Amino acid sequence: MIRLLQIEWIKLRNYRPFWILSILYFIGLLLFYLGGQFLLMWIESEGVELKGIKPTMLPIYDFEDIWHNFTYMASLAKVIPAFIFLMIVTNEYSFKTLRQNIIDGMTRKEFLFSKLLLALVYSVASMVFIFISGMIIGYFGSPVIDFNSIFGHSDFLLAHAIEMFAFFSFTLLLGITIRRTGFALILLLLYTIMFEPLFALYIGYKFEGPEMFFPIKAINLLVENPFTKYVLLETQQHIKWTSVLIVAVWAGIFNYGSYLILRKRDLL
Amino acid sequence: MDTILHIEGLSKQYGKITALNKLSIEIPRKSVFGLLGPNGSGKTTTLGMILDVIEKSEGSFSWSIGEKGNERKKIGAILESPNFYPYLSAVNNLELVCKIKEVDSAVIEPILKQVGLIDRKDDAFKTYSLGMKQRLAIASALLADPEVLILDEPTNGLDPMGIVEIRQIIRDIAKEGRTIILASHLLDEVQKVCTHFCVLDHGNLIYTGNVEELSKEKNQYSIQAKDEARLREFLDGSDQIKSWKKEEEGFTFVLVESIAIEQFVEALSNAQVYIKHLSQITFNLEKKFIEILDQKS
Repeated sequence: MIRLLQIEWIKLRNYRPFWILSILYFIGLLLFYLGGQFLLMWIESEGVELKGIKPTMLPIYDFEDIWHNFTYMASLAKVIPAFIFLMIVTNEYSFKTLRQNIIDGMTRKEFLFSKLLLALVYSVASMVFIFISGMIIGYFGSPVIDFNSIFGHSDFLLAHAIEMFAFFSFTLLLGITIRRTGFALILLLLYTIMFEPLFALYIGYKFEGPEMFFPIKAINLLVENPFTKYVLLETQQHIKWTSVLIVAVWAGIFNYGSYLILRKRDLL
Repeated sequence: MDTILHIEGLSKQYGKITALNKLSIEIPRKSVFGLLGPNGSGKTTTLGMILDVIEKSEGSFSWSIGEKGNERKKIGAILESPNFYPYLSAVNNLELVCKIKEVDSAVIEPILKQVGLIDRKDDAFKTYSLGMKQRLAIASALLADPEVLILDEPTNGLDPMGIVEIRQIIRDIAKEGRTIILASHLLDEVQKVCTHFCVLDHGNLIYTGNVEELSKEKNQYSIQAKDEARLREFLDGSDQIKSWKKEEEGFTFVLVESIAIEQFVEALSNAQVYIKHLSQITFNLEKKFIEILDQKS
């Protein structure tokens, strides 16, 4: 496992687009978090009140809400790291280095495993980044700082890592199937933004329930919109383990699909 | 024969197209084995299958090297063009190969020296000329002290100087006692470096032989006479020759090993056949190749 991670590290340590896009993603995420307060200030300056509450009074940076708020905001931006990952996978085809890796002695299973390890490391890195950002912003923005409130809803951090890994698995399947960055990215966006939501809407209209089993819907349901609680609507309190199970099954299907395609297809 | 690769009935089908049809060959250890054939004859498909990058439709192959399942780590191979990460330097690219093959990266610098790339070792692969890329590919193939080296059209696209350099590297490697499998449509190249060869055409194996044995066919001559009919009559009746063939100009014949050319000339003279031209034919793979393809068609 260490060897496979080292292989990925050698491939990426001097790959400038990976670092530039990753830094942009993490800085963007930080600005997104910090911008939340400015957004509320702007909303307030426009004279808007939410059921009699001034928008700047909303406790978006309070422990324990902060984890749910931040992981949800990160989930909205997950297409950016997915694009980075997609580019890394499809590069292996365009540079013909996947073929060369196999010729040099890697097995196809090892190749897939190395990419999954990379996905796992990136998911954990994103989770750690949210944790550190949350700790710092929460320290200055939260009126209550004690162990219970800090770690009360930290299970959302785990949900974020699972969400990222599952989405990366979906991206990996697309990358291995389509092999071209542009086409794969277009399909990724069309499927996640258009095809599945429309189909889910149709299915949800006809029969109640089955849409939650759709892959992207299931992945998105790991961390639901937390901001509804500020307009006094019911909100998710903790990770739903049924959602985790559904997503785990989908990740398994995506990765097994990738394996089957990789095993069967000629590498020309 | 000590065989390093045994191929049995290997086939590849792309829909209705047969890229390789039941290929069965044995490659001797420490030989330089040439895989010959025109473009599209199945050479790269064969190499792709024995390197596990192309799925076989039928048949089997087995390597007699290294640990079972890890054979490719003891093989150095370049299939078609050199494939590396363009943004990585030569050293980084080779470091990656070392990690895959599980060998110490201390071998990188000596090999870069061997292929003459040490001065450009820190430059990105994308800045290299084609010849340098090819040399880096050879360096990469040599990294894990391979028992077998597989080279697919190694001089493709190179300038004459580059071709000479690569050929010399191949010869040096062959001298080290490694098995080399070389696919090429450049017959001169194969004749210069190979010990054994086979010919593929439209996916079928049509000939397999030993370059050295063919080169030993030294008793082959080309002859022309003033009176061609008389010469034909003589060749037909002579017990001093193994076989003869009519050519565009004159004839070619193979002399029985125990007969010296002087004896043959004397016999011609006795039979009053006056010759215009008589010369020994040196082995030419190109000619042999065309002959093989002609016989097949």
